[in-house]
Amino acid sequence: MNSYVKRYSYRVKSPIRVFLGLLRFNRKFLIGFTIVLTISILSVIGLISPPYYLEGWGIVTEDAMKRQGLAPCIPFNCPSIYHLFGTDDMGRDLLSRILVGAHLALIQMVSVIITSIALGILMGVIAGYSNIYIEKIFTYVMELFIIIPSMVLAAAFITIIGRGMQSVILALILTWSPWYARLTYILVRQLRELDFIRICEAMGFPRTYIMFRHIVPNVAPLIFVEAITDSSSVLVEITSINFLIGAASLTSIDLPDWGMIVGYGVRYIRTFWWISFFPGLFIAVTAFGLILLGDGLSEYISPWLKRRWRLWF
Amino acid sequence: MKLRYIVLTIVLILIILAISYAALQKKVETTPITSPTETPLPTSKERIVVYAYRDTITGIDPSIEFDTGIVILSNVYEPLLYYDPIKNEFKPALAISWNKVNETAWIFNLRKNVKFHDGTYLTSEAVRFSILRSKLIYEEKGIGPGWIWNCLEDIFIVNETSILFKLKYPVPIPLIVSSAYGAYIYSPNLLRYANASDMIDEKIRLWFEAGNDVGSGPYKIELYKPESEVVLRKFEDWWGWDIVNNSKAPEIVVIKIVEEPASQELGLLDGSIHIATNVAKANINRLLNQGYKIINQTTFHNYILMFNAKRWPTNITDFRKAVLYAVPWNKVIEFAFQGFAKEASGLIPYGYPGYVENLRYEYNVTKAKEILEKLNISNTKLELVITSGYEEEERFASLLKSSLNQLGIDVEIVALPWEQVKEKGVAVWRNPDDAPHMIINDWWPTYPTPYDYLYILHSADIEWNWSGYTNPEYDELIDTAFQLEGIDYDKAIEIYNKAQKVVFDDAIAISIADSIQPYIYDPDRVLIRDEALNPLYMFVIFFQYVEVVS
Amino acid sequence: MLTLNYIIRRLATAFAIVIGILVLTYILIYLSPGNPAYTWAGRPRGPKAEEAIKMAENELGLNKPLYIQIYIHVNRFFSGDWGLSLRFKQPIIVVITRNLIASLELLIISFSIAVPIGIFLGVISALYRGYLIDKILYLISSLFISFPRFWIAIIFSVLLQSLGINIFGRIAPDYTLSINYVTGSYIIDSLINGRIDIFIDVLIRIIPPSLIVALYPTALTIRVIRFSLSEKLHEEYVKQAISFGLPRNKIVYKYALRGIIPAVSQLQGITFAYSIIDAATVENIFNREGIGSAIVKAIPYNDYPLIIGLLAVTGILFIIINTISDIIQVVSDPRVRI
Repeated sequence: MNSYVKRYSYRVKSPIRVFLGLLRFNRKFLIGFTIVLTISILSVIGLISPPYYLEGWGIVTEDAMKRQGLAPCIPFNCPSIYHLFGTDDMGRDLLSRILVGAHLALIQMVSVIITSIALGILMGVIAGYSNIYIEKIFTYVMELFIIIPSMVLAAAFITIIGRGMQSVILALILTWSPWYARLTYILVRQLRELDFIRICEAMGFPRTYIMFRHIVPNVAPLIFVEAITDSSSVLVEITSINFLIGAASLTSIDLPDWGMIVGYGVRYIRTFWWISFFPGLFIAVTAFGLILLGDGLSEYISPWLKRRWRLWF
Repeated sequence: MKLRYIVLTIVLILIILAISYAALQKKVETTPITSPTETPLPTSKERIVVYAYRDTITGIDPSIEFDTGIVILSNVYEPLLYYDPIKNEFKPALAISWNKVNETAWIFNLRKNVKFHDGTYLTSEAVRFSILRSKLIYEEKGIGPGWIWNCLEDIFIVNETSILFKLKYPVPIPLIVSSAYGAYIYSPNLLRYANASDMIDEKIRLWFEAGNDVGSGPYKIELYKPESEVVLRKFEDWWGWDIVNNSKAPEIVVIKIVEEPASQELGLLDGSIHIATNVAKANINRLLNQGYKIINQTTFHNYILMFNAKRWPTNITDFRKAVLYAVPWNKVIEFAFQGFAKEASGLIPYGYPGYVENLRYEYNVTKAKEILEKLNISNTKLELVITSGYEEEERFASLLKSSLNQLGIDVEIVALPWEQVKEKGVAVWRNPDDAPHMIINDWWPTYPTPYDYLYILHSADIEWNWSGYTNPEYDELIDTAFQLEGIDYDKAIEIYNKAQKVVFDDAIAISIADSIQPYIYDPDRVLIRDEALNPLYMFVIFFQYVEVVS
Repeated sequence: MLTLNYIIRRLATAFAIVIGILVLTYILIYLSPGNPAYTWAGRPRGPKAEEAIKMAENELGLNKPLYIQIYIHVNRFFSGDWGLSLRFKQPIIVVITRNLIASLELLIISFSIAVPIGIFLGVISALYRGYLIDKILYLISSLFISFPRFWIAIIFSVLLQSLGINIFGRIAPDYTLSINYVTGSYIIDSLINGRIDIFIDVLIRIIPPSLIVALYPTALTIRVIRFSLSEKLHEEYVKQAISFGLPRNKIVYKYALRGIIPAVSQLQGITFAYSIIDAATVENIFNREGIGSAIVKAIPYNDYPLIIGLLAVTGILFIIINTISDIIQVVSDPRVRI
């Protein structure tokens, strides 16, 4: 018996080996991962010790007032080597603000994604495995929440709950978890037809056992990979909402969230173009890295997509 | 079989849409309103001026409006007189002469042959109707600028062109009659147009807010979309076109509501906006180099910083003084306002009656630190509410935050739209912990009396007193001075000065700066004469004095 | 299968969702702080203030229990009386219609640019999978998704401004009064009035914003078609068609593409909801009116009837789009069972 199993069992690769293999052979994953890693390191630096700590958090120091509106340091035209990205109109160093903002952006994005995955998988699995009335209610509620645009919900929460990042995060969780719930629901419905679940049902295992022991581990990886690709959209959405209603959504308008900095710098776009340009560039690069990361992972999970074939017609 | 069902569905949807459209059409006309003015299609090449203003129009009822509607009201309606505070002279508008009969009675003689926009003529009845409506609505509902008519007992019609004001106590009525709010004259025929029963009927207000007007000014309202733009058309039968002697006056005026400074600048460069009021100050030099011109209007518009007198720790007088000592006042003008302001003293702006010199706090960080040590307060968090989009307030708030940071006090800067700022301010009377510790209120005049700026700290004024300051001594001082103005003006000013000193010593509110308002315009399109701007009527451009050049 | 049964069920679901949105928005407004009666009465002070507030409360029906309020609210909504905006004192329908038409113009033009281009490029990307053209298209689509639309809009507007193209607002101010507004949509009105110059001016002002709004749907469509079409092209029936010797375009567009229409149309339905955020940023930067900016400006002002009306209208709009996309799904693929 044992030798029989041994002959037909695969050698399961440990996660570390998977990871290293991905890094070596999958170019998308490599690039995406380096970008995300760099941004994370930068955000940690920003949290602990950016070059100008006070200015990063929004305080206009005495020195800052003397250097309002310095241009960024491009080769051959560098006003000050200490301010790589220049200073904003009140004199605060832009690089420090971007670094501090990096950790804010990452915190918001990660909390939204993780909570909505958890909620979404839970709801989807419960709905996919229940009787028909709960299913109907579930599809109804899901469609309701998918239809409401997240910005509207965010602004409504700001009025009700008050200022702060929690309103925006809550609104986004409520908008994204139905999306994952729907995906899990479809997957669960497909999985239910499969033999190994049928056997478990026939053997009389309790429903919760089947749900959490068999279905969730099959659904979770797919959803997780999808979530990484979606996290770039989430990041762009969060910064867009902060850009639009920035003054009301954060605790203090000095808070250097990337969307806020861009929104604040729009009025100076013709004289101090760098205030709006660089945070936007960072958002674009981070989101791009996340998409590449997600796509690399999904290529690993569904390898037939990589197949290169020549069209013979 | 499939095709049939597709066609059936589409037909069904179309039927449903058609029915709902027809149903909605019926419901739109809630009250049958008639508008006395016609709206013809303009011919090509008419003179157009576009004026960009930065806040939404809060309303255009001439007797109730007390906020940003002044931009439109001053061009569509007219008061009896205009007052120029710089030259200290009155300009006759609808009244050509006035006499003081005795201490409590004045007679005004009206101009003849003044037409309203619906074609009827100005009569004393119209003046009586407009002014009494403003007064009554304030007394009945407590809204609007009708408090300026508190001194008025009644208005008597002497004949078609003369009118007698009977007062309860002596006041300088010509000043009140030229007030920026609440003194506009309109035709009583609107009772018929709005199907209203009496002058304080709500239907009149709804009729006004729907975009109708029946004033006598040089322009009438053509299109009213208060959150995006208001279009005014020249009224050819205005009495003043001969006097003004401006053949190039614009025929169509578009007042566009552009809240973002970036959009105003974009529109200016684009040619879509001809006069801009809210451009980022750092860009002004660049615009001037490109050929735009600027008018810097010295105004009575100031920014008042108020403390919350009912919330800890700002309810401690010494703490407020410490905060004020910590603000680098010498930097306020150059950093926060970037040169577009004058130093302020007390609460009343320079040049306005009641101004007192030397009510300023000095910048002394050591004193501030001493006071904080004595009070044993450190590491607290204060909340400051400013209006969003007002660059000056934002920069001042950053200045305040950085200086208080040195003392160990953290400041949370909250930027809200203007209406929300008002809500936050009034919350101090319901629940002081809801209201912020500090709030900046920008104030401009109604009519020239010190009471105008000082009553915002009166304990009975729950609309504008955002500090919760209740000091019966102060209330009594300014109330007696208000009544004394007509009898013994100098004594009244003395009492007002005393009142300001009380406030100064209590450190409850102080004006940060008197703002200088820049108007940036395109000299290839418009030429603005001097008479077009008057500091008593804030943000108003009298378009009859604007010439369209191109 | 497109049966009458299905159509009726779908319409009933849509109707139920509309009611659900109304209830939800009313609950949200109910929970928010502040007293709408106070704003409705015009913020009175003085001796008669209490009475005025009570009268306003009666008018707005705020002193009844919650479920009755919701019932009244839903009733009034369907009978066409959406109330007056607290802030503007104008009927809600008037305010909403003018914003809605402006937004709709923008979104329709964006989607009519995005969908054909997306399908075309997606098909190319799927056919030439793994080649250089595919890699370039993949890069472009990823960039379009990850670029923040507000950032691109800012750069775009500065670029256009320096080139001298006028993009401010919806229409040049000289033309504001020149045409009779029949529908409220400047494009249609200028055509009705026969003024081609205004038509061209309005078109110039709407193309850059709609290009920016179209970025996200295009990129998503390319990705989805690339993914699903490559799967479809491996199926048996395609191989059979090839062996019959059918021309390539016919196989791809007539047979393979049919199979992925459900996924694409569902995607468009959901992207339409997301695009309102992009449309709001674009309206903000280019200073146009529209639903997105109306919502952004209405909520800080606590203008409850307007917010409810805007949310309901947005909801109805998206339900219509989703229902249409569902019907397209069912029509094209008989196996789909909703």
